[in-house]
Amino acid sequence: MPEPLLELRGLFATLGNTCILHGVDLTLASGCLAVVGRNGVGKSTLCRSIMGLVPDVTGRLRLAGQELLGRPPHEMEGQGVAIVPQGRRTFPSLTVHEHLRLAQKSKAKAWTIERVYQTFPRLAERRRNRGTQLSGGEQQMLAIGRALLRNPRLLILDEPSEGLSPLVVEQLSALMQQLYRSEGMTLLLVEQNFRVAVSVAERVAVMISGRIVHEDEASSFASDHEAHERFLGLGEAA
Amino acid sequence: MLKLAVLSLLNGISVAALYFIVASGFTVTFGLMRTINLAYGSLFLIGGYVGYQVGDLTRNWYLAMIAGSAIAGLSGAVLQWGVLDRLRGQDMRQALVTIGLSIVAADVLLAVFGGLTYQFTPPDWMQATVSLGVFGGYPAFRLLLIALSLFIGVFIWAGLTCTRVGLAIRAGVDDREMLSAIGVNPSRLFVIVATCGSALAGLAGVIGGTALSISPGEDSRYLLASLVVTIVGGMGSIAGAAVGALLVGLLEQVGLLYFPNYSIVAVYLVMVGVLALRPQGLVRGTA
Repeated sequence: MPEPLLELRGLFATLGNTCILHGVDLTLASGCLAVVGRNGVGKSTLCRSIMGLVPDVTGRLRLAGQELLGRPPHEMEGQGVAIVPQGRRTFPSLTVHEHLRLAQKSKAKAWTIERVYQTFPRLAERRRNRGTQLSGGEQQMLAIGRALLRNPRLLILDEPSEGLSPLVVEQLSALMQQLYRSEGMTLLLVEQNFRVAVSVAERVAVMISGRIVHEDEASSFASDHEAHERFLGLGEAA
Repeated sequence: MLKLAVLSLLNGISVAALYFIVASGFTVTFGLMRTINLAYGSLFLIGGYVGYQVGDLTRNWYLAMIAGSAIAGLSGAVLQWGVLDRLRGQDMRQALVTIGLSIVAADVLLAVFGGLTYQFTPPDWMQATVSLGVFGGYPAFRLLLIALSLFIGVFIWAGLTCTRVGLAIRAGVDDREMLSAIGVNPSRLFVIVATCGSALAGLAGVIGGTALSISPGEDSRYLLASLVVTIVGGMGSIAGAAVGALLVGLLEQVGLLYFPNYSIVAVYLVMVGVLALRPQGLVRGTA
């Protein structure tokens, strides 16, 4: 049996004096898993921990069977992990094109600068603008393009639809589905937008107080109103 | 009188060229990377002394220049990797540790090389005098120094704006974590930058020791000059370092001619003025 791409066992993460993750168990073999939950339950910390951006972590973090807990971000990147971080975090001193030049790994890989421009024509129009001169949506596209140019095996997306117009969200959802369905990328999607999460992902995991408490197929979770109420505090309207 | 004025102008520009070479390394490490290395003047002196020894042994000025840059670059790399990177973001600690190290370095250098003033002998062709018509002659070496500083300036500017290493440096200054997340090891990158910056200090040590001389105390003089040039010009800006170096060099040399008692004060008055009116420096932004 092949090893799952990402396997977390009893992952604890501490920021300052506060323990944020309280033993996360999560397996992501392939495809797309969405992690949903209310604000402040530790979803972003989970993303950052997998990328190696949280120094104070314990437990087990395996990538394709290899134990990688505690590795710095550039080593995780070397193992094929990329992140679209919350808040985009584009570089203020670099122009759009400079971001992409810096991130491009090789012209022979699936994702190249040209392809990013084809996917997000808006970025091509703004190639000479600096990271801070872009609108929120443009910054988000840039952050996604930057991560895709690393041609990762595992792409972590932390709230990618935040601040985007409904039309762009639709495009982005289609892109994410294409990435895991036809390009073999594995996606870990953290999403506030519940509709986006269940429509894009194959499976949905619910996080409460730093733990994964429930996991289900996206299609059955979408209609499981009892679970919505219990885990997310959503009423029938959702 | 005109002849004197022109010569002191040239003196000012050539001193400015020397200040620029020292300060360009400083503005990249201090202005861009925000690493506070107050032992930067010691690297200048180490480069100068070691270069002198090598030049004295081999009778080869070029080797002296290479050795001076190399030893200063190596010392800077060790300092960045062993000390400054571990104190990242702790300005006061970086400042105190490097002041301590510069005091130790000054005493060690005094013990090894003594309190003598050294002057390098450049290759014969550089010792020629270039005729400037009615204004008389001017040492070729000083004109070369001006040309070299221009070359270094263009080289660093192009490196920062056009190459991927330059992009990575600017990105790393903005957001070190995200730079790491796209696969660049920021600690290693910053060691490389510190090495290049320190090598420039060592190079300036040899060149300064040829155009002028080197002796104990030069370390703090060039550290101060670098600080003033960087602050006046604008942190992390190569164009700013050029403007700052010209201002400081000209004020110092032209001031020596017209208001000798106050020429040193003038430099600091300019710094106070810039800090009061335009605290971000004369030229803004990276590169």
